[in-house]
Amino acid sequence: MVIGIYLLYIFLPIILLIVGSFGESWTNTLLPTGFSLRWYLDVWHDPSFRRAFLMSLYVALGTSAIVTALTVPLAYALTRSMGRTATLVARLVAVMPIAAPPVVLGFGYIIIFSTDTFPWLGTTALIVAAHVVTTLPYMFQTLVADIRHLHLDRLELAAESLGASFGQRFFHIVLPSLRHSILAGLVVVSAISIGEFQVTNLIAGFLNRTYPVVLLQAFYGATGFACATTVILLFLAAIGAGAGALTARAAARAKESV
Amino acid sequence: MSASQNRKLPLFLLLAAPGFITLAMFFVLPLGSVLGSLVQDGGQALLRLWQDPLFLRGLQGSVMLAITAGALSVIVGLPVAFKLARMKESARLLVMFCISLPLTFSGLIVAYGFILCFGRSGFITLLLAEVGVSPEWVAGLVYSPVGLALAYCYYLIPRVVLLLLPVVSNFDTRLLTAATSLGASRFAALRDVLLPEMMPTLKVAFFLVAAVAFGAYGTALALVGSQVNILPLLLYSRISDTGSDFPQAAAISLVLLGVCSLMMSVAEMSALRHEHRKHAEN
Amino acid sequence: MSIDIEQCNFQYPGTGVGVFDVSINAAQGELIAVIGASGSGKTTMLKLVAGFEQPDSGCIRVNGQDVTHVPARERNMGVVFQSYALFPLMSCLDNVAYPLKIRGVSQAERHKRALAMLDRVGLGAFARRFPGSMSGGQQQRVALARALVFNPVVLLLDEPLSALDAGLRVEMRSQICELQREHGITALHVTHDQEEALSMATKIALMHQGRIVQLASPQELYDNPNSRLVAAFVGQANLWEGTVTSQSRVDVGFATLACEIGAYKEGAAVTVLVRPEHVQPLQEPASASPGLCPNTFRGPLASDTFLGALRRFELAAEGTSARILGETTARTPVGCIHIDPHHVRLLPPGDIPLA
Repeated sequence: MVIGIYLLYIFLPIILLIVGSFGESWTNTLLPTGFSLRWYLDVWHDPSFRRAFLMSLYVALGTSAIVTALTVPLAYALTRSMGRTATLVARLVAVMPIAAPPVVLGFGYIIIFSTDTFPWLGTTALIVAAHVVTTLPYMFQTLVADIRHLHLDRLELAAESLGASFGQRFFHIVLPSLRHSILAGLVVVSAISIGEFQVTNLIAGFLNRTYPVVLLQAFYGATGFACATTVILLFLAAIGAGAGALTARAAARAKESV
Repeated sequence: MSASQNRKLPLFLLLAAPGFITLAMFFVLPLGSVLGSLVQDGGQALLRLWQDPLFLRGLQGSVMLAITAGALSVIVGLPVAFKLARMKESARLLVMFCISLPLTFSGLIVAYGFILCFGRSGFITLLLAEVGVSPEWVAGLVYSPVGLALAYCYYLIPRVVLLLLPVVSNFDTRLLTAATSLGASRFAALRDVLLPEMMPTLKVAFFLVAAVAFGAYGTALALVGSQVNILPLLLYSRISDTGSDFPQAAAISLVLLGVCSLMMSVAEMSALRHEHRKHAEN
Repeated sequence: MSIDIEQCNFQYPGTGVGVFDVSINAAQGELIAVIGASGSGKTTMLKLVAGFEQPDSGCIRVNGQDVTHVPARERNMGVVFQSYALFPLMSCLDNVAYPLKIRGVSQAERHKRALAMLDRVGLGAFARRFPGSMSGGQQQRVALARALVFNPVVLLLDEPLSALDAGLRVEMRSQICELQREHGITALHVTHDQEEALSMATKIALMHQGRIVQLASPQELYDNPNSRLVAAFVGQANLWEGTVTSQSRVDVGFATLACEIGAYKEGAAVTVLVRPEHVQPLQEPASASPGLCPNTFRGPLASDTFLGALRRFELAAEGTSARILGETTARTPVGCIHIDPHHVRLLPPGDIPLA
């Protein structure tokens, strides 16, 4: 009962969005009238949405790659050198994005990255950097928990006694052990990056606006068009959630067999 | 720390350096520069802030929003977590998937979904109009801080459920049976046995969710433009205005940063204390 | 190959914990057990030998060669960990073949050798299985195979049996000893289980607070402990503080015992040790008055525990508050016991031998 009502609360807006996106017109009626694919075709033919869509994919991809490259060594080094303290650092890092509201962070970017020393405001690289720092905590937390849970320190000590060098240990033992949590982290990172609006909206230039930033403009237009553009973002998020569920299940299976 | 770890310290530092530098450059530095621009005028802006009626109304709205969103999420999240914990494994996984769906949603999706539900000609609004509830009243509610809280709950409740679920599933229901066998009423058993067990996590969930609600502006901007009086939106409009008063914006930033950090530290402290007690027990 | 640990000192930074002045010499083929309570420094010592920690002073030699500053991965020592530390994502075969892979052995050759080693520990049929799907005992044997497959110079065992249940532990003891003898490899075995140490080792080092209290053969350690601490740690014991009163008498408070005082002088403070198996029940009281017959005590049993082959009892000596622990195979009632003066051992007083 409780779950049923709650699921209705979750799905009603989603269903209305989908229904609205296929409706011919929807003004002051309970549900839209007519069936039409024109809103999706409109989005497809809209150059600013096409550019924004590609820009979002590009930024998400770059963010994912950089976050992985930065966070795996960071989480590994911190956990191995600090033990329990690393868990505290992980928690501290994890609260960062909430303790510092996105609008404040964005404001900080406007101040510091419009100076002559760092004149990067409006560049795509800066958008990626902002996405990296907002998503890094999620990856970091996942990895630290996993490194401790898997007792990598013991496995590494064993490998060391068997003659493995640091590089061999890292590539034979550490990376394969962490593959599930890296994947799970990546799903979250890319999902957040694709949906990120609050910081990007403040720091993007006109030509490198991401999909959510452009999406906001659509809200002031026709209902069908707004629905279609939103459903596209919804679809991307759902793919992310599905991938997340699958990796979580694979990880759970792998842990059972250990 | 053992000696062998000491020996490897330079290596660890090398591995951690890129991550730390990135965080310093793109997180600490921007926040520092906000504080820096506040210091530039000697904190005058901070004083002026308290005479600004817009700021005071924004602060009031944000506090209302944070408390409402926090309380609402916890009140809804708790029974949902309870029902979930008692579901069969396969059903639970499916429902969990649906519930965590909104977690990855952009606030904009939520905003437009809510416009379709509760907007002036929204689905629910029109349904309610059939039974005589004025659409004006519904729309007025939805576009107020309390209404915003309702929208925020859409992606805040999943966070609460995910936080509470482990505690709820680990709760030993035999304790309740034991309490009733000792003569406690069902209500007294829940109050005396379950509530103390849940309280620390409920506190953590409340403050976490309230902090998110206090600092977010995306959903609000998409839902109501900058009409509603909440601090993040006030800051947003101050920044977007051309020729804006940076020290004034920095002062608002400081308040936002301070309140959110405070709420997060209360949550973290409470979580840490709770874990500490748990460890001591074991 | 021989291992020599020479006056090694190591202290964990910022604590008083570590190992102090530890020396052990193990000849080729010996199995040295290191025992002690938890926190006594026995695992730390093993870490020093393995190279996971560096001693602050002292040195470690293998076959006479100083390896103190050789990194762990170049020491070529086989280590079996308490947690087994098998790589969960590798099959048993890959686990055992891993050290060979590191050493650049070709895939065909290393699989052949790993399989032979798995056969040797009786797990040839499990080569393709993953550690997670195996029992503790099986994992333990894979860990042993992995530690031996690359012909290490020494074998280091860090409480390898502590996670197994009692029956399996006894079985594994003999398998480890067998493999160790077969390879003729010198082994260092850290354990907190004194029975395990007594049954497996050629020599036992007993550690306490980071120092070796006694290093001796199992028999010597049991029969002639050098202190109260060793006597109490190894086996069951009656231990009383006493004073030597004459050439053949020691006063233990509740009685005066006949004994051989050896090198002790009259008036010397001693610890008196009597092993329970030397407390002999007497069928018939030898005389009406126990005082007339030294080392004979009469009284009710304070406890009487049946242990299968043995029966352990505590006799509350009449007219005293003393309890005397004894063991016997007899099932008849016990009301009187005798201690042969020959079996009354005198140890230095206090817990630890004076350096």
